[in-house]
Amino acid sequence: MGRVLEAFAWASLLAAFIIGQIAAQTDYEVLLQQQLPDVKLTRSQANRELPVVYRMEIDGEQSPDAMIMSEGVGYGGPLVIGIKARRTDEGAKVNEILMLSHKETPSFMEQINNKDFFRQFAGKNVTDNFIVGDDIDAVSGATVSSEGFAAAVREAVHLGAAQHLKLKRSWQEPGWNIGVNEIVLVTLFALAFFGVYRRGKLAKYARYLVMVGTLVFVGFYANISLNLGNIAGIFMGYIPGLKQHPMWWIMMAGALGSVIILGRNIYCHQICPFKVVQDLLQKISGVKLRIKPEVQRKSRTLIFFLSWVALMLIFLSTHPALGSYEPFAMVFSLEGLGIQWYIMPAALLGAMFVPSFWCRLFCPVGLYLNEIVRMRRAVRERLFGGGGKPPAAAAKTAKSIKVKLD
Amino acid sequence: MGKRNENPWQFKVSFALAILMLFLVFGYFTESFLEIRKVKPVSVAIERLSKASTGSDNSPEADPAVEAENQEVPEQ
Repeated sequence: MGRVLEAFAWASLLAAFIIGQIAAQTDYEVLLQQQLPDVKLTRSQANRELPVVYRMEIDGEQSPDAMIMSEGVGYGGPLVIGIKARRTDEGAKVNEILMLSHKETPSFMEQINNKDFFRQFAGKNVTDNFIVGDDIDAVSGATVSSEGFAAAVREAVHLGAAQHLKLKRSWQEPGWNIGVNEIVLVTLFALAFFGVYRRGKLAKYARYLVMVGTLVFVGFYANISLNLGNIAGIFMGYIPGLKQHPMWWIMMAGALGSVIILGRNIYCHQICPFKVVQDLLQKISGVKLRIKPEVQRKSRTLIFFLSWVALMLIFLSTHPALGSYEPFAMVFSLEGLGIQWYIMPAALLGAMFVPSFWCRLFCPVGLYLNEIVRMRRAVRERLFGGGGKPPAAAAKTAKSIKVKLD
Repeated sequence: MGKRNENPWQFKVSFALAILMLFLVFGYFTESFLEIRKVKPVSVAIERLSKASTGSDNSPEADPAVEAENQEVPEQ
């Protein structure tokens, strides 16, 4: 029975993935027509090279604006925008940015819209830089999404300027986006490794430093906790560029690298800011309610079931945020929609009375990372035997045991 | 001895918290499901597959509107 259910789960996930991919194929004209129902769109034949450009006709009259289409990758996945631009003596000017499709977390999008992020593009020349931190300001708390939108605009207008308008490249190309944030994240991982692999006072201080650092930086400042959506996004190819979002790469390399290479789940025990929040609430309340052993045993099956439902929703919608039921993003940004406003306090209430409430009963990321550790151990045991240690290490252990016995 | 580790009151409260959380998570899934129903990915996928099997293509690149030649880029 278990095998049949497992096979059904895998088959249904595969079917949902395929359906979602077919349904999500971008159709520019449909997307544009949804936002501009009264405009007649005709793809410009004068501009056969990319980017795709549409001419617009309103009430039978040709509009002086053209719509340049562009795609990019945000924090949640791919995005499609339309850039309304108009020819000028110097080249062309951007008039308006239309958000046609995106996979960002709704609360992040709300921040971007509330802070009029797209308004700053209006009036810019197509030869401007369009670089976040240079002539474009990111929305704090939605930095990655801001970068994604800016990159999509930049790539399309610069390509159009070079290909269609034959303008000289006078703009700057974006460089590596490595700054203080990336250094802090790498340092946190380095300190976490140090705290785990070393003993003594220094290691203890390192662990405290990581605890505070991860709460402040990974949680409240950058809000980049790992969630099921990130993992599902990798399967769907939603991987931001290394230059555009190095923090994503550092986080993935640190979390996955530690379980695959070292066989230790460093992320859950050291880096996850929600774990710190739960531990702090425990300290404050001083109440440690126990979970019935049968419930604890069945929680693994429950999390697999919840993540199956979540992945079905994500794959069908090709929208990672729709299935990510974790409260992390909301706890640290206090931005949420609908029932998320109830999930967050319930998770905090649970954590106040039951140690690591979320981690033990609901967290899919923790379960998957621990499963990788378990699989790695099984593979090593099969390959090397002797408790999963490679031959050299096993021989050393055997030698030390012999010495002790002697 | 056997009763030393049993504490029904604790188990009941932690179980109630877990059930509450579970209800809320399913509430979230329901909200997401309603959102997906607006897009109807299954019917869109079937429509696209049937179009592809009959040989018609509705991608922007193959749109009939493209046939109409536009000789110039819109100018101010």
